[in-house]
Amino acid sequence: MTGIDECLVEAMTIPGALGVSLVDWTSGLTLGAVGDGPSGDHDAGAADATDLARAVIQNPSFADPDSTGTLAEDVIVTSPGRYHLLRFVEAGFESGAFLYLRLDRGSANLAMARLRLRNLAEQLVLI
Amino acid sequence: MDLQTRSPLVSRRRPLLLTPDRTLGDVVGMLAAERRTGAVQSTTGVVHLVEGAVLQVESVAAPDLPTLLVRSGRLTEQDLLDLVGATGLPLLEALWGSGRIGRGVLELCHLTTVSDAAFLALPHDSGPVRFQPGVHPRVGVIRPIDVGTLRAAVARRRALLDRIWPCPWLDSTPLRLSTAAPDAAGGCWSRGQRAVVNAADGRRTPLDIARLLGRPAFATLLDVRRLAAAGLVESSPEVIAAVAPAMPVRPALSAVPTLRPTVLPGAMGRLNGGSADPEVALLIRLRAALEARL
Repeated sequence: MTGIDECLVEAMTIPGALGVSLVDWTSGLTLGAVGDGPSGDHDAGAADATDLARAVIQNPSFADPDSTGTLAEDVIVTSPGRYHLLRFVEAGFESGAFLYLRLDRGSANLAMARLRLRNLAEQLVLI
Repeated sequence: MDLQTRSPLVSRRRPLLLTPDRTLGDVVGMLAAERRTGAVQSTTGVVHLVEGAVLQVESVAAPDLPTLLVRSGRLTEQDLLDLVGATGLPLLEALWGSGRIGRGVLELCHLTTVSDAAFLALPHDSGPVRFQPGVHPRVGVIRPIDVGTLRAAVARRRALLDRIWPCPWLDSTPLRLSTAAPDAAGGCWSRGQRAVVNAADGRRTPLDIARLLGRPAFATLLDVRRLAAAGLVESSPEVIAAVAPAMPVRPALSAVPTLRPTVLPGAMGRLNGGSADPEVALLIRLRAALEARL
């Protein structure tokens, strides 16, 4: 039984994790946050990440060509010092939520972090 | 009934606050500035405050948590009835306390309904408001949300809709297929968008359709705007003629009274007579939504 806070705390155990939040891409509302936000502000980071998530989730070019509603799963942004990992949460009731994890590039393994975040997104909405 | 004694929805004894030309969001903002704790009840919804922060929002026009859980396939209607029967608790308390549904699902679903209700209730004229000090919701509390943050989120949602297709009257007027609609089967439409197209019969508003489909109101409105932008759906012409010229920037939710749950013939049998109980009304609403979809 994983609640939002437990999920976020678990995400912070991913090597290199700097901060993680659960955000609603339709409103930019931060539904939960642990660790540090970009520039120390989770809400500002959520608003920026929302713009990114929205551009991806609303554009059919990023969906599989044969899908009927299955859109992008995650978004990865890299910079010399950071990885930014967004994972959409598929809850079945159109919550619009995604997990936003920031990682220190020097100590993170991007592939592993992506898999762990995927698992956490699935655990979050397990019955 | 238990819920009647504690729910602000049925309070009749609290003082009426007259708030001309103010939205419910304005009223809540004023009470929040005074760090008040209690339930703010208006014609468009109920907002629970704790020391000036928002704990919960309810709207009569937004599908509720059990409806979303059932429509998402996580529970059946029978599961809900069994849960109430087994625990003897009101439905929401039974859901939160049973362990039958994962904590994350409940929290996320609850926050979805709060955002949905805030979007529908806060920007509209409040009408007369009752404030019931000291009242707390007993279930569903996750964390307080700052009123300014919540109102900004509502404004972003409104802006998102208007960027897609700037026709706010679409949200509360009957929706129909466009006379010159392109073939929906030819586009890359999601299951939800196809469901909206199928439900657009010229009589139902998008909020009716959201309740019919058991989807969050905002998600449904997003699809409606996208479909309208693509030329697939439109408001009924007579409605546009009547509403559009006088449309305010923030339209009053005049459709709310007509959106109250419709109890279909035979629905819930003996429970029909007791629909003043919010718990029963919720079950009836759930059943009506499911039956209407069959």
